[in-house]
Amino acid sequence: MSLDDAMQTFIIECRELLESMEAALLSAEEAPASEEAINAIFRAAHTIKGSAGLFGLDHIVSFVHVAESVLDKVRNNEIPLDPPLVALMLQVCDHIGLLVSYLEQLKEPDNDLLEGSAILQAGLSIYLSDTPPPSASTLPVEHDAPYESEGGTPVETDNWHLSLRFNQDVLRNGMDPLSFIRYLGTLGKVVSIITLTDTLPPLDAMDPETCYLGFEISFSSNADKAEIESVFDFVREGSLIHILPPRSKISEYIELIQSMPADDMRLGELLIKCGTLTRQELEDGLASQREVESPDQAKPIGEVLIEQNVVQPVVVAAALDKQKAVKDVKTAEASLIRVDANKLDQLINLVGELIIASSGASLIAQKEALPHLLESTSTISRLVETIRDSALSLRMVPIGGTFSKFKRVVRDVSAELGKDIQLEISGEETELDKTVVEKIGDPLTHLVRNSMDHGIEPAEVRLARGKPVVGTLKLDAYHDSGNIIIEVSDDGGGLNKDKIFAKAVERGLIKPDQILSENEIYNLIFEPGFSTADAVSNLSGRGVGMDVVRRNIEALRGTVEIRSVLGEGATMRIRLPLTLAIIDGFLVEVGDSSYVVPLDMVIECIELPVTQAGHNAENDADFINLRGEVLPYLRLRKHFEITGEPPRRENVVVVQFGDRKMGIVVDQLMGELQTVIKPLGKVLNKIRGIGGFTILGNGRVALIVDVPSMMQEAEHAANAQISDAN
Amino acid sequence: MSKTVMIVDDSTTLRQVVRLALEGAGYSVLEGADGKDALSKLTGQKVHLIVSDVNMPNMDGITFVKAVKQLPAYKFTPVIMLTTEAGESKKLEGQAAGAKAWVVKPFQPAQLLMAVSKLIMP
Amino acid sequence: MTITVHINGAMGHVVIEGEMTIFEAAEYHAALLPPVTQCHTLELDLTNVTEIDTSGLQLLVSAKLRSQQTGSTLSITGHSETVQQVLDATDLAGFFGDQVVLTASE
Repeated sequence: MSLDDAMQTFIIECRELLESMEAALLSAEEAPASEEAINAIFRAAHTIKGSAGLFGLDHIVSFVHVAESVLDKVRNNEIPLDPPLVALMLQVCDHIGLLVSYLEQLKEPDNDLLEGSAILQAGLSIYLSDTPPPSASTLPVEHDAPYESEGGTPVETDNWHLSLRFNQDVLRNGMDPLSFIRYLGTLGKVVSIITLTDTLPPLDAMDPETCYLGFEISFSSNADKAEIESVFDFVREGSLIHILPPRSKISEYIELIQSMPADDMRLGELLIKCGTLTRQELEDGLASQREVESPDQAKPIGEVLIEQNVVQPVVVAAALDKQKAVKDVKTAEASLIRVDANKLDQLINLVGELIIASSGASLIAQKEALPHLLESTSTISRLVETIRDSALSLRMVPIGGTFSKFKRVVRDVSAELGKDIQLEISGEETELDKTVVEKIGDPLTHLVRNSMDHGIEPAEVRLARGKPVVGTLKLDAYHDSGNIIIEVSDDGGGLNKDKIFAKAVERGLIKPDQILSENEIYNLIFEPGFSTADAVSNLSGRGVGMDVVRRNIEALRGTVEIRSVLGEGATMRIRLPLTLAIIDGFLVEVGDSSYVVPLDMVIECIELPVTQAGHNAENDADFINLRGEVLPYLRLRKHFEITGEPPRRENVVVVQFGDRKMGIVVDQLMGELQTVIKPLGKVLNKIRGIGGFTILGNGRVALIVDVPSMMQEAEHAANAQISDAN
Repeated sequence: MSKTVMIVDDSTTLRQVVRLALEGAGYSVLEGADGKDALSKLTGQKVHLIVSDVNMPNMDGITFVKAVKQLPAYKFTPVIMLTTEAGESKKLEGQAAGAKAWVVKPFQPAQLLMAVSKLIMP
Repeated sequence: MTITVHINGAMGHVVIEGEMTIFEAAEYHAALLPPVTQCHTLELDLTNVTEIDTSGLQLLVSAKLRSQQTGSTLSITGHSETVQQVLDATDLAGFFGDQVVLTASE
């Protein structure tokens, strides 16, 4: 690990902190923020500042410092976290994000950036007006009082003199005087040292945990006084630490001698022994000291001596604002390990290969029919399955993070539109593949904006319709038979079927006499170049259209469908596979070719009724009666134009996707297997009905049936049949 | 055998940078993400010095230091509190709890290293 | 830490091994008291002391002071590098070596 790695961590951590800060701020806008929330906001700023300081990023430190000071006031209930302040803090969040982006791109902060800092800082400082903000970027520096040459001649020595009498509790406090003396050695050279033992009681009377030793040190160093003083920062309390600079006035030594509890002559002798004073100097000094009669000539001790830190610890009696163990997502994350996503992908790939290899082994075992081998391969298969599941679960992340980003989107967009819209989120804990989470953000944003823009009516209209003035947008996620469903719903006006139909005709997307189901009409809004808004707003009208939304979702092997009730609202339902890489499949055969149907879509398998066998064999699609239900089906043999005669008995695999069912007619049912989905090359990926391929244990290639797209075709064909029959 | 320093802070960045600085100077480093986490990691370890933040989730630094001082194996272990320039009252609270040394945040790695080396040698 | 105390009449031999810090100070104090008060001649073996702090040092100093006052002998028969460093840093090597005694009483 290097400092560069740490910088990367810093950037990632900042982003996370900013996210949680933003979330907390947004929730503060809805309801008065709890103490915990405010503390979390404060802590985020505090942590960013602290970490930035580690890297010496002064421009970030000083900017965040001002925000932190304001938040500190909020924390202490000195100022309320009111909407204007929340809005300002959100801008601060954004700006910190920008500062971090510069870091990330290794860009030096330019004028624009610093100007942005200055403007926000000015805005923040209004909240601090009664107390000027303490300087942030510079740590307090103690300035030395100049050693004035007054009274007496300087002594000859070039050495500092240190008189140390430690607080009796230092050892109990974990401080070892020897350690400080050792550290002193890094600032210069201890010329001589006298260890004072006169306060040390007899062995039987001493408390072994009390510090009794004192030291007189003659010290040669180029360090300044503050530096030498700072060595004893942590032990100053309750200790007598006197530091005299080189060539101090003799009178100063005399004062030192007199200020010490021990009698004058002893310390005087010690100073001589230490080499700090000569005997002559001491005698002269003491003599002149006795002559000083008038009090105004006596120099105040404080001027000469290092001030003793005698401030007793004022134990603040105020009750500890003991924080309750806050259930904080942040800390849960702290116990996690960050793993490079590429490493995970590599693992999943290997697991994929392992699955293929293990099914190969199973196949051989079956062929050889050796019981022992069969047993061990089945154990291996089971273990591999477990490994597959846990490997895949490594990639699973809750969708909550994506959802909470929409708090900001909804807030900003509703402000932009002048509509009052609240966001309701549920199912945050629903997990799905990380890749899917990353890629679903954009389409979701578009759907949300679309709902806010076109779905939810302006306040006047809502009032007239007897709806609550505040519109509601809901985001929900849940699992449904091997899929994950993400719903964006609004309580707006719903989709107007006739309007969409008319628009589609006008755009030339459909013919006026075309008969379309309700669903098909709604789906028209996902066609390229479709817009129902009479006035193209700068939100939904910007950039991509709804067709791109659908394309993005389909790229994830997902679908999007619309439920709408006119006047009551609409729901966009995105259905996505849980994972992209590996699925449980159901292997079927048609002629010499193998196909895999995703197992979680398979409901049942039936034999194709004999009445149907010859019937309409030329058509690749038809429908049968499945316990009184019309089940459209599709012959894979015809669909993929496989040559050869179908067997006497054909089978139907009944699959379900969403609430639609269909049958797939195949020759033989081979059974379940685990499948690693390999994408088709660019040339082949336009083929409808194929979602990828996989390699079977025996090395052969099987195509993976793309049920949703096949379903569309079957329905079309079946509808055509029905209308023909009519 | 080198001395072990435990750094307790909820910022991963801070822990990483402190680890770099201390390991570079020859100390061994243990990390705690908050008071609770750190406390659970102290048992069965020999930690010679603890550096702890004040404001942390789950268990704040003051509560943590008080708890550490209750452990027989750590009652004399020096603790450096990471305080803020505005947090004078917290510093006093920390001292009352048993953290007699402190470093003011934000700090540069060298400043912390200096404080640590005043108290223990690597 | 381990402290091994052998008392044979007026002769004592003490071996200290491991750390001599504030954590063990109370134990050392209790263990050193009998030999220091009973023995006329006491040998301290510090060859395997791995660490010594002020608390350890002042125990040794106190024991040595007592022997000086009572006219008994306390000698360090061996010391580790760590102990030597501390005695040098505090200029107490001579004190234990029974040479010039630099105390307040002088």
